[in-house]
Amino acid sequence: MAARLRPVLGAGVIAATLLLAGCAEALPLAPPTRTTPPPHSVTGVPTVPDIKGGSAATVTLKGFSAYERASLRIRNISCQGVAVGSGFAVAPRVIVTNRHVVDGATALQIQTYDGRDRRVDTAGAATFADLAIVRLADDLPATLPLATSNPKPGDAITVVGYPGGGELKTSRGKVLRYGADIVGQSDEPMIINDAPIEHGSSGSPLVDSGGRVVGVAYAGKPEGPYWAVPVQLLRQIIDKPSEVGPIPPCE
Amino acid sequence: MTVPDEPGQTMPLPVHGPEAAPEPSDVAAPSDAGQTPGDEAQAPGDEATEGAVRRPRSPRRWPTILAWTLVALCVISLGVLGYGYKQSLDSSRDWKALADSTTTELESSRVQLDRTSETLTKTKSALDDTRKALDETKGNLKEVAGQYNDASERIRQLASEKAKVGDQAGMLSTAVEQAGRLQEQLDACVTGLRDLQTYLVNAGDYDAASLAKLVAQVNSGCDEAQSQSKAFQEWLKGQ
Repeated sequence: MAARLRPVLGAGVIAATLLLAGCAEALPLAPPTRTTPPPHSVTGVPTVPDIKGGSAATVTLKGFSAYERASLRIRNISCQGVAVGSGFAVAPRVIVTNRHVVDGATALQIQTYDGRDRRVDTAGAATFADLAIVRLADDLPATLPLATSNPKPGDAITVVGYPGGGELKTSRGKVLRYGADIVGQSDEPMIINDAPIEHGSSGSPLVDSGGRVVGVAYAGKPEGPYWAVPVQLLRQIIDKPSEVGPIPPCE
Repeated sequence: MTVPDEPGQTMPLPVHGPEAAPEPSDVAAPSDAGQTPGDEAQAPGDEATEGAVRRPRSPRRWPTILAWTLVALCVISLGVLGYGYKQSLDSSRDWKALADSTTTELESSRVQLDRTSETLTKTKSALDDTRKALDETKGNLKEVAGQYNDASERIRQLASEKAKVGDQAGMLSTAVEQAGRLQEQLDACVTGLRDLQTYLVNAGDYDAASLAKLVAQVNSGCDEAQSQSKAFQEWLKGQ
């Protein structure tokens, strides 16, 4: 009997398979496994409000630059009257200017960019170039660093000083070349540049694009060009105080 | 289920005709040669047995097979249907569970979305307030920057004005100093002239050469003083 049941059982399985196959679409199948969040069909949700764009702030401050803060106005009172020049701070109590700015002074008066006075302690002048060092009894508001090498022709420079003894002004230009001292006081080559200066600008710093002093303005023709002492000569009198002598008396 | 298929339990069936041949295996066939009178004597009493021996078997088996087949098909069909029904119930349960979880999740998402929307609205309001404050601050900053620039420019101007005042003070101090020196020269001139006047009144009492030298000195000093005075006046005009 067992041998006979096999075909019957096989037929039953086949029939069942056919039945299941016929009902496959009718019968609910197992739900698929979700891999992503279901989409939300939500109504009545407030939309994202637009955010108004603000106007860009265009605020420009016209204060004093670092160059200006380190610049100084020097008044030379001598037997011949009053002369005005420029200078700049290389240390909190040390300023650099031209020798001809302090020559013959019976009194030197120093004023900062914002009009404050500083008392002078001592002053001395170099013999090999138109440079002078003035030491103060009071601290200065800002100082300028010195470059380690002289500027090259074509380098951009900025000059800050008191042209005409008036307001603090800034002019820009570039190094043209090196040439002989226009006043013949030095044998060293001097910087010839086209940054405009006037009387009263003597002693102004020439600042490179990195904010370092590369020269000290001291002379020029009214229409230009203009002369300046290179920074390496300035370093000589700063590094060697023996290079600095007394200021010539008023004659 | 048991089926009365055993030969001993088979009910005798009537013989329908000579076409039903006896089964030699079930009953021993009578032999003409070996049949004894005693055997014949027992024949009338064994008619029923003889009839059973002669019954045909084939006509009795196919209904049974058919019945078994139908029963088996019914059982299998019931099983398949039951299995399908169970699967259907399970699938429905799964779908319902999924629907319930999706509904719960949707509600949760809806609540979360509502909260997010509420937060967004509040944030937008706060952002608008902040932007208004920022605009106001920008306005103030612009105003302050303008004031700063004005103050810087004013400092520039005041520093220059103070410097010029200092220059004038320096010039005045120089002028005072020069005026003092000039006054000394003029005083010397006046004193020299006064002395010279005294000497000239009594000129005969003095050596003429010495008197002439003194006159020359006084005149030189006065000329120098006059020159300095004129230069000083020119210097003052130039300042």
